[in-house]
Amino acid sequence: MKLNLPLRCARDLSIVAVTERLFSGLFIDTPQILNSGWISALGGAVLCLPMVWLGDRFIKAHSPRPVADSLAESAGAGWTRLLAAVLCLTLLYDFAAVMRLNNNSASYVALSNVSATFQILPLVLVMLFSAWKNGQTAGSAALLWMRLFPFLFVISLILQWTSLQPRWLLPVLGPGLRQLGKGTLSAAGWIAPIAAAWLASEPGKEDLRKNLPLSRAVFFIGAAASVFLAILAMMSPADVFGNPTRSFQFDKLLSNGRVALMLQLPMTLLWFNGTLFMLLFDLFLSAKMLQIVLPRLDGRLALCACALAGGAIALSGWAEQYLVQWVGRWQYLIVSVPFAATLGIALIRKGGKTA
Amino acid sequence: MPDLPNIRLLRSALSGELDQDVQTFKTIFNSPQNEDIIFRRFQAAGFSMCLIYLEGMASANQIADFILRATMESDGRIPESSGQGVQFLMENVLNIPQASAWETVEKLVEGILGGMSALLVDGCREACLLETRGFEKRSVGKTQSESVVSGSQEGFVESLRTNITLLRRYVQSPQLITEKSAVGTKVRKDIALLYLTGVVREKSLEEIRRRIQKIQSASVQSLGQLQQHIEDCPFAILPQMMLTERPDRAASCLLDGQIVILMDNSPCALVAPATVFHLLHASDDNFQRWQYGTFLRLIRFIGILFSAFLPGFYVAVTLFHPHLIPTALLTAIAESRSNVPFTILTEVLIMEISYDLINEASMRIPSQIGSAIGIVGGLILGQAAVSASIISPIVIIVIALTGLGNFVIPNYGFTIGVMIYRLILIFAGALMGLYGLVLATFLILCHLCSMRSLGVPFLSPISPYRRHNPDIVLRFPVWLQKRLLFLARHKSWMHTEGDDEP
Repeated sequence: MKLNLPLRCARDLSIVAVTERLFSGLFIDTPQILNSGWISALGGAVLCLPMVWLGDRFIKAHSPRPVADSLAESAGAGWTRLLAAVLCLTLLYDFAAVMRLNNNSASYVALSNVSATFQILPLVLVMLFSAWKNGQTAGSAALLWMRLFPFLFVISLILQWTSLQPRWLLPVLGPGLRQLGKGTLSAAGWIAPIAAAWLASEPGKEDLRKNLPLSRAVFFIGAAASVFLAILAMMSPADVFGNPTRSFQFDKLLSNGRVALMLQLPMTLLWFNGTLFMLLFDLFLSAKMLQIVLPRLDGRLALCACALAGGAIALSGWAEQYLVQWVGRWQYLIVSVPFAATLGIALIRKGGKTA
Repeated sequence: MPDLPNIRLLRSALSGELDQDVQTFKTIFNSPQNEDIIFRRFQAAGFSMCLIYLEGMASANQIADFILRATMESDGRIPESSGQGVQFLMENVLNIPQASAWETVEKLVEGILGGMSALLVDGCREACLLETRGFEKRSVGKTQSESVVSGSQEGFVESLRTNITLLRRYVQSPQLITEKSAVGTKVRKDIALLYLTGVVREKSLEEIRRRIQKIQSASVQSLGQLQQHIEDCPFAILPQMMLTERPDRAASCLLDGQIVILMDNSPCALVAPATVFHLLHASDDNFQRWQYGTFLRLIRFIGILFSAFLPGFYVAVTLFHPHLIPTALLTAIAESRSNVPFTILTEVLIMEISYDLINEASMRIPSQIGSAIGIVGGLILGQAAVSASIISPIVIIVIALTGLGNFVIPNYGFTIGVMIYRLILIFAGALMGLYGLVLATFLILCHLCSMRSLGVPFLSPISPYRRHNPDIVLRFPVWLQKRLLFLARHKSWMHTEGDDEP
């Protein structure tokens, strides 16, 4: 089975998954930036835009062929596979990290007595079954979630409306430029895997009319995550003395100390669904990248391999919060450097051929 | 694998010798053992003839008046070159509106089995197949399962001819095509494919023809069975084609570029391709003013959400998230459950199964004692179970709301599908609380997104997006609905001025 992902599905899935990843990464795993996460979100999007813009231009120049095929022809199969390998490993790690995050969320919400293995196992199976249905299904599910999300979001906003205090956004540069810089770099790192969606995508004839689809997606991601983080920042003052563990941050996310516990429900649903889309994005694309590296590998086998590998990493100590934070800061460079190198080589080789 | 009996005779052609041909038919129909088949020999127009028909299927009055009398009292004589005998009879003697000439025995047998009469002429290698159908059939009445408050009250019946006529009355257009064929390799059943040419997509039409031709089953007795043979995802829980009893519903699907399949002896129509929204919309949504249609649709969607999620949500919240329940309600739940020996999951499953039993029993029970179900269900199962502390009162309320939500679903297949999903969600909620519910819902969502109906995504036009009228969730005014459904062909003659391309 060949895994495929139409461009519009890649765009929809990226918007949902990467927005949630950015939001969760900045709010849950980067508490040091206090209430200024929204600035880092915007900054991260700005950092990623040039890379994604180049990708869009490449699609426009080579569509309607699959991007991986076009890149292999332009830059050579070796460089394409190298880029795919880097992206595969990045996404695998992210898959494990988000599984761990999901596992921590589930423990916080209800399943504190259940072992991590029995929390992660059904998750792996659900993700495997969902990704099994191929990219069009994932994209359609993401599009449907994009339509349902605003209703739940508005409900949770209305429920917490009276708690919003814009003054808690101040001071804007509260954590300091250094922390904000780190946060921005981390944000860019969490957006950068959209390069995998670009590499996996297959533009159709109808996509030729669309202008810069992935760049618009990144813009939307940055703006949406920024708005969510700003709204969340307005719900409670910056806590410089708090224990920045995931449980503490979940507590802030779900209840902020002001809202009745029973009103947590919309936020819980939003959170869990968002993490599931993150996982689907990571699993599907890591399997697709693996298939690009090993073209004869069956898609289903690639999915199983990536799911098992991700599960194993999640259950080891390698996906804990402090490591995820550290990797997050480097992820932007890990992805953007080979990406830029491959596209640069594609440009040079094409120029050589033309000459 | 053994072949049909007398297959060689079936595939043969008429010999022209009357005695031989009559013997052929007697062998095929197992006469004289089979006493239903009638062989009426007579002399007319200078030749020996034999009329063959099935008693009860063919109308004796038509046979007597328009065939026997017409031939026996005719002044004309069949020309000596009797190869033209049948044509002569059809053109000059017989008064039947529909008549055709056939050489093959198989075609004649099919016609006789369907209620037509075959007229064999001695010396003629062709026989006449005459329209004499006159079997008893049910008259057009109200629908059983798709009742509406306002709108047409007619429903399909078992006669294929009547059903086609019903649709033709609603769609009076020369572009409405009826393609007749049959399914079943050993026992054939007549079906008809109806569509609006120029509106339906050729690709969908070819695909459905291909799937019907591919059916290898010995017999297909109902549209439900046909649906199972040709649907895209036979293992999916929800149906991917729509079965409807209402001609007005089927007619509106024809106008939208969908294909309608009718079958003899099936009092419903099968519509394809169909999306999940076709299964959720009721036929009287469009009869009402848009405000009422929208409001009732919203009520219906809330009912469906209750039906699918309420029991699972109740189990999840009470078992894993009691802090989400307001304190007063939590106290009431705890008090009402204090004497119940079973877990919440067991309570809910007991009530769920009891409810399903009552549902199923009420459909099978004879009408004379139908009211007993109300007494059994309401008093014994409900009140007595609470008094005996087998279940708590709140579970009855949950299941009652769930049941009401179930009844608002217009499509019966969809109702059963939701019941199955509900059980899955109950177990998911019991195992992992809200997290489990979210996981199960995500799985169901991905599954629905992967389903197809004749290649059309099941959740379209929402996902993947197709431009559509504002009539999917909310029912906006009809004057805003200028667009033809995306299932129709591009640039079809049904498109109107305000309609952009899909």
